[in-house]
Amino acid sequence: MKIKKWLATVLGCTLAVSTAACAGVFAACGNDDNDDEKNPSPGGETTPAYQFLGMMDDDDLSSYGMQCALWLQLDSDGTASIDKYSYLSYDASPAAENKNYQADFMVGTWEKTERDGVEGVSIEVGVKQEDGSMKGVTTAMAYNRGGKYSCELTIPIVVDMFDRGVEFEGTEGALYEDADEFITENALTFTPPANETTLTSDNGGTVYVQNEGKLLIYNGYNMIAEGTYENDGEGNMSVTVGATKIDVTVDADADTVSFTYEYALYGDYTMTFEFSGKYSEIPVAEAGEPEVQENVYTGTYNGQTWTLTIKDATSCTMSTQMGEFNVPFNGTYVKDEQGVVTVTCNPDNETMQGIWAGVKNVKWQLNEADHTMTAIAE
Amino acid sequence: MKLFSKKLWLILTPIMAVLMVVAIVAYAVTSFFSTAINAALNTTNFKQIQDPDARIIYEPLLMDDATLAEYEERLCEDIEGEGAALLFNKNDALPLSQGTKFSCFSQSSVNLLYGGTGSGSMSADNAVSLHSALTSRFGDGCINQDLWTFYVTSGYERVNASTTGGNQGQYRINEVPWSEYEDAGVASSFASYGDVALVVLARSGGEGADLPDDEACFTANGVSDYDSTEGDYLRLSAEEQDMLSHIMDYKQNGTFKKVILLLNSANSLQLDFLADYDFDAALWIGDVGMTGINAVADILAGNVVPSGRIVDTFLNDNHSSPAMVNFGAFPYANADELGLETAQNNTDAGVKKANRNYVIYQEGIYVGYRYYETRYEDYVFGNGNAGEYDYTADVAYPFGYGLSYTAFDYSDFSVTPSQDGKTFDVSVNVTNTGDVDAKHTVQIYFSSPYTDYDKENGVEKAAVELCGFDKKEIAAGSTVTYNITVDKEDLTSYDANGAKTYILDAGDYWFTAGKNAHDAVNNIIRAKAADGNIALDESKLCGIGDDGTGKKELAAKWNNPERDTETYSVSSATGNKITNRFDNADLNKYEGTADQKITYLTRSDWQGTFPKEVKTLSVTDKMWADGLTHDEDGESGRAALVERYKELYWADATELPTQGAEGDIDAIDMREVDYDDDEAWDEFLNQLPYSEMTALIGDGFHLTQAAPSINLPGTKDENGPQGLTASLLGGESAMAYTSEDVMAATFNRELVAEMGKCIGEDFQRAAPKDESQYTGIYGPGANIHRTPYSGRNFEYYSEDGWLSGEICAVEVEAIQERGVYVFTKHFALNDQEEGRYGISTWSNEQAIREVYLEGFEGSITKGGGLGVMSSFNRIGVVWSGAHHGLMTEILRDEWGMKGAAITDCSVMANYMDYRLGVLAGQDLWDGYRSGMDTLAGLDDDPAIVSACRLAAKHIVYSIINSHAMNAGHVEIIPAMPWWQATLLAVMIVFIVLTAASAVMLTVSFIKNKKKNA
Repeated sequence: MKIKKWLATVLGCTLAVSTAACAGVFAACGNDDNDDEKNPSPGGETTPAYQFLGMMDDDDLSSYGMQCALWLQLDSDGTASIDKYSYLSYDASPAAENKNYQADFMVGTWEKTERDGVEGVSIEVGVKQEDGSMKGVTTAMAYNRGGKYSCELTIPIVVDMFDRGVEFEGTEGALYEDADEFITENALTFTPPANETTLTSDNGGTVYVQNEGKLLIYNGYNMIAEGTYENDGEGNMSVTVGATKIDVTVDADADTVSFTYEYALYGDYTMTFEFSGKYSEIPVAEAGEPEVQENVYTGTYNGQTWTLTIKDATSCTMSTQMGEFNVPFNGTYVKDEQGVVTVTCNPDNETMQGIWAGVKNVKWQLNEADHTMTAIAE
Repeated sequence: MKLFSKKLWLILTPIMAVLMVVAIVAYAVTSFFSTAINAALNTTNFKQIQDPDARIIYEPLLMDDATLAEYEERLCEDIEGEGAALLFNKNDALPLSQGTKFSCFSQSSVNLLYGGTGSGSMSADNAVSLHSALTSRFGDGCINQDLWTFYVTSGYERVNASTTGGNQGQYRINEVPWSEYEDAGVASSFASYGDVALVVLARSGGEGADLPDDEACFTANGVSDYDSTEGDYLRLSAEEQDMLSHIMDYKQNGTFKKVILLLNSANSLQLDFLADYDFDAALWIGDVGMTGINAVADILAGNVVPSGRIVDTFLNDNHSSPAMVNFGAFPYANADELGLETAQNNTDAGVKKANRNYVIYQEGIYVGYRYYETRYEDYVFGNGNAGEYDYTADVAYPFGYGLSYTAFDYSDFSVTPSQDGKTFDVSVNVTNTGDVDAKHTVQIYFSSPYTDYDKENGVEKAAVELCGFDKKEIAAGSTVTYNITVDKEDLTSYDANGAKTYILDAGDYWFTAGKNAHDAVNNIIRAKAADGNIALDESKLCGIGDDGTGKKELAAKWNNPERDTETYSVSSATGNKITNRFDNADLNKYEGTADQKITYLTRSDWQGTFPKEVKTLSVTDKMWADGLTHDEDGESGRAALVERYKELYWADATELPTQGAEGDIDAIDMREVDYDDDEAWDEFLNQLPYSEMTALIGDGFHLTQAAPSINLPGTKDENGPQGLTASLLGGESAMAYTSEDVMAATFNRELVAEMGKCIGEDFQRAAPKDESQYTGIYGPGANIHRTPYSGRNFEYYSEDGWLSGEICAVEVEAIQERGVYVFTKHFALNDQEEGRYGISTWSNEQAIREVYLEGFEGSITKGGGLGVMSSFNRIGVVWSGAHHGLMTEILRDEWGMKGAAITDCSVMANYMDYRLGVLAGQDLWDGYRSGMDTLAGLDDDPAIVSACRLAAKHIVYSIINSHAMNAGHVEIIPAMPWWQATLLAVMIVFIVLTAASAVMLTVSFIKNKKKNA
């Protein structure tokens, strides 16, 4: 008994310490130098003087899950802080337990001041280090423009490595009552796709098994692949994703089904998902034809696959896969009599503009027969 | 549950196994990216033990930080004060008196342009505002506060290109519409501040983002809305025109007494609009840096007399430049068929190949004033099919132009060849005929004969070229004699077709002291006409401002009796032969382009050869094999090229060099060893194992790796051309000086040298003593203002290569004296941002040498520069870093550079192949090897190892000539960074636990079986 308890204690502690260490290392690879302050501070005695909301929502950051909402709080005691909430987590749980919320991501001071004869609010914030020093310090003046204040601060993505200019808008007083409201007001809601059952993996992957032999593979809340499956209901099942047929293991006795999906990230790097679930819940189906959506066309240009989704008479979305995320470009289109489409898009983010630049001069010949499209470069 | 419970271990074992796999993968992945992770976490994989007996080699300046900061602020002001150029000053509108009241116009007046964007960007948080500057010089209450507040709170702000990944579609002028003024009722404040309407017109520039020059630049980026006239960002927007019209109305009705214009841009605005508005004075101020606006205020107040000279030709028609037709990135006609790709930044998938586009420098040497003044001269003399050339339709202000608050007369001009025949002593008396003391720059230009030989051999000659200058202060009413030495070598021309080297043509050379390039041409025209008894058609001559149309007395002739093709065929720096290196960059010489020839612009037929459209080029098999090849599957394309490089450049490397030998020679010991002592260097380099060499070469993103085998300390590098400013890597932010064109416009070598000294000092002080030191600067930039629209003109000196070389030389020398090695960038032909990754740049050798390489040549041969940064683009089809002619034959053999050549950011850019680079002379990569480590596993390849040794030598040489050596005999001990150690520990724990679980599972099975039995 004693040995058992001792062993269990050792194992438990080792697991806990190791997991914490891993988490700590990977968290430190970001800019989370304030790991010890994930939870919001208990209600302070100061009152909010000004509060701002900034959205770091550059499209390119979505590929890395780095989009976030930033709540800049200037309190009556002259302290400034920015709380960060990663809304792409779809996690709207309360701040106290929400791993995707970080209080005091940046801290600093503010004061009412005058610059060049114009009254405004001077703000200085940075990322506080363990030794008390500050990194990534950014300053700005916010001016009253018709009752609203705005300013731009440079927010680190990785301290001393990558940052973004983020526009903050706010008012006097409070924007949110508390951190929980900040989260709920900026949280996204994930709606899983229709499915008959799901298979899951230990690393956050989900296969949504649909009817008619179709399946969707998700990493977290993001779809990374579409595929088809064939199942005779008697233990014979196959899965195909793209051109790759994947071996499926069915244990009829145990009522389990499993397969491994290798997802290409970047370069030679892949992410491995070991999916498993209940075989009996998989519908019997022949391999479904990939659903042909009338308004969707797929083509390739410059080695990159693009998907055109026509939304209405003038608007459309062009999307392409970047890493594990599908990156959309919303724009307008013009289609001529020969079915050649010219898409115009105006990404307001520099990196997205860089990606779009790769196809900006391309027209697309839509092929109605198979819903592909052929690039016509100028 | 019992200890040997099968169920327990059936559960625990797979859990442990999964965690073990996760830990192993995590460790492997993070190790792969260790360099990047170390950079992000500010950790290293080594420990540096300091030498307690270290001797300070590079002494810091005897100033505390606060004093240095204050000194640098004044220095920035001095540079701006001497670089800002007065373009016109009607009726002595300037200077202004104390008590002048200002209404400052445009949203840029409250948001000045201090610098450009990109890797060398600066933080404007603490920069001096126009408000502050004017108030300090003209007194409290001098600013129309209502108007100022109106702009601050208007919500209209200029949109610059983004710092990380700019493109042409981003720029917005965003001027406040006049209707907003009316709504705000701000016009009622004008009368009280009516002394001066001060108008600021600002235009930004940025890395990765050329300025749009027409609507297509916007629509090509998917942008349909823009606010510049016809999409041309360097013309006025409708709102600006409206604003100016209203201001002029207020001037007309007496509300404003004067209207003064400040041109706040390093990219020259098209100035045709000046004719439409009644400005009283205009001052070009460039990008002003942190404190430069104080000097602008001083100029306005008369505390400083303007003495700057513009370093570009300012145009009434920016599109008149022959380079404009060929400005942009043009895809090869068969690009799709070959699957060629492009990239605008290194997160684009196309960055691996980056082989889709090209640009042709069809204008040859005729860039900037070399074009305008030469065509003008030919028009005057009726030569070269110049046509009815209207100079003033194109040119607003010529290169070198700039006024003062006083006037200067030249007299007694003379030119005397030196006794040794290597130089000319040029002398001129300058009299300050006005009432104020002032600094004045004398510019010496020369004209080379355009001979029949030249015409037959395609040697082009500009009508005038700058070859000397000096700046002095002259008291009012006094006369000062300027004696300027001109190197005869600077008069040579590159003959790529005949002699295939530099030649000094036979014939009459003319020298002149001109107040600017056009004044110089007019002097020479007058002198030539008098000398040759040529009757001039006076109606063809034109002058700018009060310059007149030339004085023959200010020109002198020297005759070279015989063409010299020998003297200058060897390098004066190294004694090595000079010959063609860029035949493969010239469409007319490179066999790979087959019959795809180009007609370069020539002064023997201006109208017939003026570029009209972009020539269509297709990729041929040879072009593919010579450089555009990319590897779809395996390595076939580049591997074949690698073998060819070995045969061409390393045929003698047949024996595998020693690697990783035992030894006790530290890097610092090599400071006492001559660079050319091969034996000593071989013994030293033998100690380096291949792994350390390739780490040193390949993982150099803003740093150099430590090398324990030779106790080489790790170091850090940082941007940029405006000084040690805020950059992509954050780091320390020190003084941000003006844009480089303002520095050059001072024409003051001493001032630029002083700035270089302070930049070096900032680097010395940037890091704490026990951390890696900042020892390398990415900058200055020495590319050319080929057109006004290049996004990084703010980081380059001028349209003139010779001037770039002169200024770069003094700056580089001064920085390096502080123990900081300089990577002058971007080497070479990176004169635009559009398509810069991998774009094929086609040009002829004469233009390359006489225009585009001169800035770099000066930095190395005159400034002693230790390094360059190669460029993203290709020279012809060969990436610059893999161009042996550029990286070895020019850089080392001709110019004698000894230190390291680094790449531009190479992250994910597979086309910047390590093997090809080291074999060609590229030493250091500004990136990570992850995903592109083509040097891996080649430690048994004699050529590769030999090339890597040479690269390592160059890198070490730079470092041992830096203040990193202040640390003395450091000991470098490999150390695992804490994050890696943690992951390793976790991995080991899970391996052990998995093994233990497996054992326990087995035991439990056995026990269970026995029990059941």
